[in-house]
Amino acid sequence: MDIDFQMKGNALVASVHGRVDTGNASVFEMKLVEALSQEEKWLVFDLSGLEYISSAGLRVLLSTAKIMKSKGGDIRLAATQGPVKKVFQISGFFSLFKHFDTTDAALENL
Amino acid sequence: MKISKTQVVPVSVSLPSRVENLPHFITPVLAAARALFVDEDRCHDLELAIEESIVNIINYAYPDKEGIVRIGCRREEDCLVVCIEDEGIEFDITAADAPDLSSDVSSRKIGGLGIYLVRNLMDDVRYRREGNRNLLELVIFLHPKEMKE
Repeated sequence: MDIDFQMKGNALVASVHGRVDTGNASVFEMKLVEALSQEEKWLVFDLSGLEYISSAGLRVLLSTAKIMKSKGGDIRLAATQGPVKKVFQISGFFSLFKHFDTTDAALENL
Repeated sequence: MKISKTQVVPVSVSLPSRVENLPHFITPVLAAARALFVDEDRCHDLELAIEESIVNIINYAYPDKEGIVRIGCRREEDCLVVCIEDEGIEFDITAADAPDLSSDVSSRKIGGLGIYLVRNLMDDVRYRREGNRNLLELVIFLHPKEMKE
């Protein structure tokens, strides 16, 4: 699993690649916490490169969303693909979070 | 279900209930699934169901100390059946309550989501308690094109 971070306007874009599973979810969470400063309210996950996510990874997304909400912001999900998209659908995450086909569309909607 | 033909896929792995052993449980089962022409999307579902099932064993069957987990798989007619066994605390994932998927972010709890994924990604999930063992079977249907060998 790799994450690249990029500031775009007032949002931090986290591009997640590879797998987030029980074995590396804590590293995923640590990288997110380290990358977020107090000022950022919006976090957009570019998930076009995410190949696999288990409930351990979903738990990290949820806890990160709670942090962003406490700052008056939120997270946005973008570009989920293939079987990962099905995992989000089953988990109800598409009703929990706004989801967009592309990262740019997510940024325009902040 | 009446079984007229059972084809044993040679997978049998027995290892301690540790997160770092997950790949050792998963990899041989996926190899067996691919040998039966299960497509990559279904292999993904199977991998996720195995991870969630074994993590559940680690957390609930063996909460205080690690124990042995066994995984194997076999073919039953038009199904691939993955068997996961432990000797821990009785836990029937097929009887667990579904998580509340309607609550908002602030009140949403993640507990139970792993089991819910297992039940929704697999074509069938069977559980039985035999003596001191939990026996879980994850079933995926092999589509007609996957039956051609």
